Amino acid sequence: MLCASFCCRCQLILLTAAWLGLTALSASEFRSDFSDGFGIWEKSASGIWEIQVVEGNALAALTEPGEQLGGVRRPTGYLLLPHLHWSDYAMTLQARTQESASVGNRDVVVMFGYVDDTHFYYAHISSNSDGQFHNIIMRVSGDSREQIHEQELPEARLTGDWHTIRITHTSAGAIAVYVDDLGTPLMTAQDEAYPGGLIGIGSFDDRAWFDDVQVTGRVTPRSDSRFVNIATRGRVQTGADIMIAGFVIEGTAPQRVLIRAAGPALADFGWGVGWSTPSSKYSPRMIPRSC
Amino acid sequence: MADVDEAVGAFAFPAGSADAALLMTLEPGAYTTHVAGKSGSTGVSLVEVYALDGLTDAGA
Repeated sequence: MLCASFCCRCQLILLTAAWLGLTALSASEFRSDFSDGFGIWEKSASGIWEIQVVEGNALAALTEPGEQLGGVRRPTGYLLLPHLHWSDYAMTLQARTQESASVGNRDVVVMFGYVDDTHFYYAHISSNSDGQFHNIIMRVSGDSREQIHEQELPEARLTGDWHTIRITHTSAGAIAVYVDDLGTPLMTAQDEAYPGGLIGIGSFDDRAWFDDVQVTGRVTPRSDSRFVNIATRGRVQTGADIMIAGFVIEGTAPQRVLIRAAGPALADFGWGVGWSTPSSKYSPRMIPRSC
Repeated sequence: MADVDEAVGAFAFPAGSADAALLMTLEPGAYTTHVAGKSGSTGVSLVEVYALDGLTDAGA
C-alpha cells in the first residue's frame, strides 16, 4: 500500500497518526471512541451508520441494518477498520442492540480475521442461542459458511443493555469470545483459515450502538496490500520551496512504479500553469529520494 | 513510456514534451519526490505516482 503526503519521513509518521484519527496510537494499539467521528472506519456499502451523541457521549450507531447482497448469507452492515492487518490481538468494545426484546434473534456482530467481503470470521452475539446461526462463531469462506465454535449452546447474554465484548485471536488459530465476563470465554474455536486480518463491528440484521473499541496486537501490512495511485498538484518555487510529494511503499516486495511530474503539459487543461520561462526550454525535473 | 502512460490511464504527454517521467522499481520504504524547475523556473506541477503491479510489461 502507498500512503501519500507532502513531507518526509518524520512528518509522515505524524501524518500517519493523524490519518488514523486515533487517540494514543502505538504500532500495536488502536482506540476509537468515535468522539471525532468515524475517523478511518469504513462503512460497508449496505446499512446506514451515524455518529450519535447520547447523554453527551458519542457513539457509532447502525441505524439501518444491511441487506443481504447475494452469495453466502453474511453480515453486510458493518464498520471496517481498513489497512490494519491484526495478528495475535485482543479486541474489546462496548455494544448495545437497539432492537426491542420482542425481536427474538437480535444481535451484534464482531468481524475479525477479515480478508475480504466473503472471507472472515464473525462472532454473532445474540439474545437467542440455537447452535446454528445465533450466538455462534462463524467462518465465512467464499460461497459457504460454517460455525466453528466448540460449545454446543453458548449462553444467550445479549439484552438491551450495554455489553462488553472481548475477542482474542492468535495466529495459531485460537479464538475466544467473551461477553461481560472477561475471565471465562463464552465461545471458543480453533481454526487456522485466517490467522489474522482486519476487524469490523456491526450487526447481522439489526440496529445497534457501538463504542470504545480498543485493539492491541501486532499490526502488519496486508499480504495483498495494494499500492494506491496518487496525484498531487502544487506550486513549484525555488530553493526550499520546491514541490515535495511524499509516499510510502509498504509491504516486503519491491514495487514497480511510474512517477510523473507534469508541468508544461498542464497548459493543455487550461490550468494556467504559469511557468516563468518557456516550457520548451525549462521543464520540471524530479529526484525521487529515500528519506 | 507512452505505452505505460496509457496502461495506467494517465493522460498523455505531448510529443516532445518537456514534462518529466520516471519508470523504476523501488524497495519498500518512505520516499519523497522533489520537483523543481530547470534553471530556477517556477510554475505549477502535478506529481503522479502509479503502481504497475498487475500490468504486463509494456516494454517501456
